[in-house]
Formats: sequence, structure tokens, C-alpha cells
Amino acid sequence: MTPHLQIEDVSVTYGAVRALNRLSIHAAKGETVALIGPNGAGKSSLLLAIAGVVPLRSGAVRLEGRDLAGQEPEQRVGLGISLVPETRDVFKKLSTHENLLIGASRRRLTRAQMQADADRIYALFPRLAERHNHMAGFLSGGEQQMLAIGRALMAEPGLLMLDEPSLGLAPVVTDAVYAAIATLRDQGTTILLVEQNAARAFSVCDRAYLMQAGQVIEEGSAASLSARGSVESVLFGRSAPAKELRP
Amino acid sequence: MTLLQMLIDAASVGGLYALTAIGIGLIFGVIGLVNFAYGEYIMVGAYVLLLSASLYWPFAIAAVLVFVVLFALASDYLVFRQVRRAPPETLMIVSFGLSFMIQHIWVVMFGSLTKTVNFLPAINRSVEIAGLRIAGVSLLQIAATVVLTTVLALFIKYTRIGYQMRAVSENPRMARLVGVNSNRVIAVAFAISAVLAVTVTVLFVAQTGSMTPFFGVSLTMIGFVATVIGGMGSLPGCALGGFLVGAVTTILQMVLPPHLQPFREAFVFTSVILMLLVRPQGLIAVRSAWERV
Repeated sequence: MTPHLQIEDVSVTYGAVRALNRLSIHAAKGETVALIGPNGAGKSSLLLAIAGVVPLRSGAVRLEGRDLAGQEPEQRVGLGISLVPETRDVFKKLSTHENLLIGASRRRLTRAQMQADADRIYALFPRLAERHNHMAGFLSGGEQQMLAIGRALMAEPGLLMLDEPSLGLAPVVTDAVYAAIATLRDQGTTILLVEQNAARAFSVCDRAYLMQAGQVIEEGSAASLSARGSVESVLFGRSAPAKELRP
Repeated sequence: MTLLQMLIDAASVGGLYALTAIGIGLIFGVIGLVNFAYGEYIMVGAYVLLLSASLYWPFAIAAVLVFVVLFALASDYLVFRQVRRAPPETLMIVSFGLSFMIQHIWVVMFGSLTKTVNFLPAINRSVEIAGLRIAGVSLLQIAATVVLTTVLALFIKYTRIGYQMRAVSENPRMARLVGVNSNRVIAVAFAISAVLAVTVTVLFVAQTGSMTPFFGVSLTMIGFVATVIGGMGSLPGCALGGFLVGAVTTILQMVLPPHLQPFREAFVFTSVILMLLVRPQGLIAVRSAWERV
């Protein structure tokens, strides 16, 4: 069976710096896959490469078997890929509601359909409904995160990519964000989740890849990775798993 | 001349400048391009009007509209899109180059001498309202400015493409990442700025009846000055700046002695420099969503 997302031998470089080194991963339809690793592991670069923002030096990104080479970022949104970046990047000078409507830019919807979809997001994040008329720049960090996720969902993505959704958020807000992620997972959305908070990621993911220096060094279920102690060793350097690095 | 008469004259002249400034300000707001070739949209429109003046006037205006909109879209597609990611100063130099190129192509095609056309002479007739004699074209200039500025503000605030424009203006990369076709949005901005240019063309040619391949330059300079005075990227600021420059120009025309009147523009630009020394960010600094773009 063709995976929903297939990354094959992808390399990405920024000048002389190699951010991804012949990396391969996959995600089945409806699966939640976490990418765990320290800063500089290449997690965000991988998401940006899938979104079409950074070019591949080699390799291929396939969505439902289709090679996305040559597809611009906005076209990839139309194909069902949405990214919530680490920086959230809500449009600060637009209202909360306008930010949501922008998210549906690739869909041909009537005003009533757009409103219905926005109401669905408000149901997922009731806090946004209270702030629907506020300028996004005046929202709290947690509300901006919810808005960034809601905006991405307005595109009705088959594949949702979340980059550090808990970064800088209070625990109670993180709980709300992860509750929403769990709901999306249960609804059958394929999710690629980048997270340094491995415990949080493991609470929702089906499978995880452990990354270091632009490569996948381990793969498995949350339970198996936890049992092996690999996450601790990579994130906190308690024992270097150098022997497992690919050439 | 009464104060009211002077205000109407100032609003009329200022309206033309305001439309020019909004056309420049719109493109700057969306992609950060100071488009010095904007005056050439006005200029080429005037020559299309010259060639189509024998047609029934709505057809002549339609011909200008179609040509100038296509011309503006072509300038974006063929020139500005190729340097979209370049620094702002590069974009500005490119627009200078495009402006010079178009002017000289028009010199080759039409010569550098002034051409005249008698377009819609009826609107130059004066009408008397409450004891004031006002040229019909002045009323049209004021009305066109008010209507177009209002429609544009509503368009940007309430339509789908309007908030896409604001999104591209604020964060072009993220706009693409949420699926906004930024090239299409920018093309719409160019088309709208072309419609504003056509309005200026028609009103200017109807009023003066003359044109040269270089007449767009002075309008662009004044429009640019109005944009800077109002606050770069702020549409209300552009409109306000245009009206202010129009008011200063009209007042100077009245108060300057005849031997100083040829230097009127020097006085206008001196007042601009003085104003910017006091308020370098312009009168309306861009702070919020509906002001930018």
C-alpha cells in the first residue's frame, strides 16, 4: 500500500551546511508521526522541505505516490499539505477571523461554507471564538498557536505538519493544543509532529523518528523508543548513539 | 477668490495627486516596490486616448482601460516578477529603468513634441454653484477621488482578495504557506493601480488636452511625495498627502508673486522637506491592518 507521505533520500543544504542528509521517512494515511531530536537535527528543515519552502538537493517528497518536485508551496497546500511553523506567523494585522479565512485560500467556498468551516475551528478552539474580531497581533502566545493550527485546518489538509506546537506555552495551554491534536488524529488526519518535548509527542503519536544531525537514527513506537532509552541519550547526551548513525 | 473657491480648487488638484499617490502606495504596500514607472501607465494611457479619441467616449475610455491594465500586468509579469526577491533599492532602480525605457520607446513611436487632443470638452465647462464658478472636470476629480478611495478601502477590508493582499503585504512567505497565490494577488494590485492611473489619465487629458512622453514623470514625483508625506504604505495617508500637496500647490499659486510662480514646485518640495524633518514617518504611520496596503 502506498504511504500517504514518503520522503526518499532527501538532502537539504544551506550553503555549506547540510541540514538533511539522505533522510527517508514515511507516514501512513491517518497516522501521527513524531520527529524527535535536539536543535539542529533538521526537523524544521524537513517540514519546510515537504512544504516546498526550501529546495531539495537530492531525493524526493511524495504525497500519495505523487512526486511533489516543482510544486510551489501554495500548490502543495492545494494538494493537502499544511504547515504550522514554529514561529506561528499569524498575520498580526488581520483579525482572528480573517486569519482563518485566509487559510481557506486554495478552496473554492461560498461565504456560508467558509463561515461553517470557521465555526468548526471555533468549536475546536473556543478561545478563538471569543477573540474572533481581535487583531491576531494582540492574541497571547497560546491563542496565536491555536489560530495558526486553525488557519492550517481551514485548508482541510490531508497532511498536517506541526512544528514545536508546545514551544513557549504554559502547561495548561499546551494541554489544550494537544487535546486538539488528539482530536484531529482521531478524525483521521495524517499528522507530522516536530517536538522537543518527547513525552508530549509520545502522548499522541503512533510512531516516532529520532533524528540527529540531519539523519534518522532510530524509528519505532513511543513505547519501544522509550524502552531503549534512545530519546534521552540523543536529547540529553547521556550516551552518544554514534554506532547507529548511518554513513 | 473666496476661501471656498480655493478649497474646491485645492481638492480638485489634490484629488488627482491623491489618486496617483494611492496607485503608487498600493503597490508599495503589497510588495514594497516604489514604482517609478507608474507615471508611464498614465502617459501611455494618454496616447491610447489620443489614438482612440474619435471613438464614442465610453469606448475610448474602455480602450484606455484595457490597454493600461494589460500594460501594468505585463510590467509586473515581465519585469518586476523577475526581481521579486531582490532588495527594495534594486526594485526601485529597476522601476527607474523601466520608466526611462518606456518614455524613450514612446519618443521613437510618437516623437518628443507635445501632442494635443480635445477629449470631452463639455466637462471643462464651468457650472455656477452658490455663486462659485467651478469647472465640471474639477467636480469630477473630487468625485472620482472620493468614490475610488472609498471603493478601494472597502475592497481591501472586506473582500477575499483584499485580505489576501494584506496577508501578502505582511508576510509573503507565510501567505504562500497558507495557500495564497501571491503572484495573482500582486497582479490584482497592479490592475487596481492601473485603473487609478486610467482615471488620472482621462481627467488630466480632458483638463489639459496635451501630452508628451515625459509628462508622467512629474505626476509620479508629486504622487511619490504625497505618498511619503502621508506615510508609506498607508492608503488613507496617500489620499491625505495628495490632497495636502494639492492644497499647498493651489495656495502657492495664489500667494506667490508672478516672478516666483515658475518656482512653485521648489516651494512645494521645500515644504515637504520641512515637514519630513518634523515627522519623518509621514502623517499617518502604518500601525494597523487596514492602513497598510
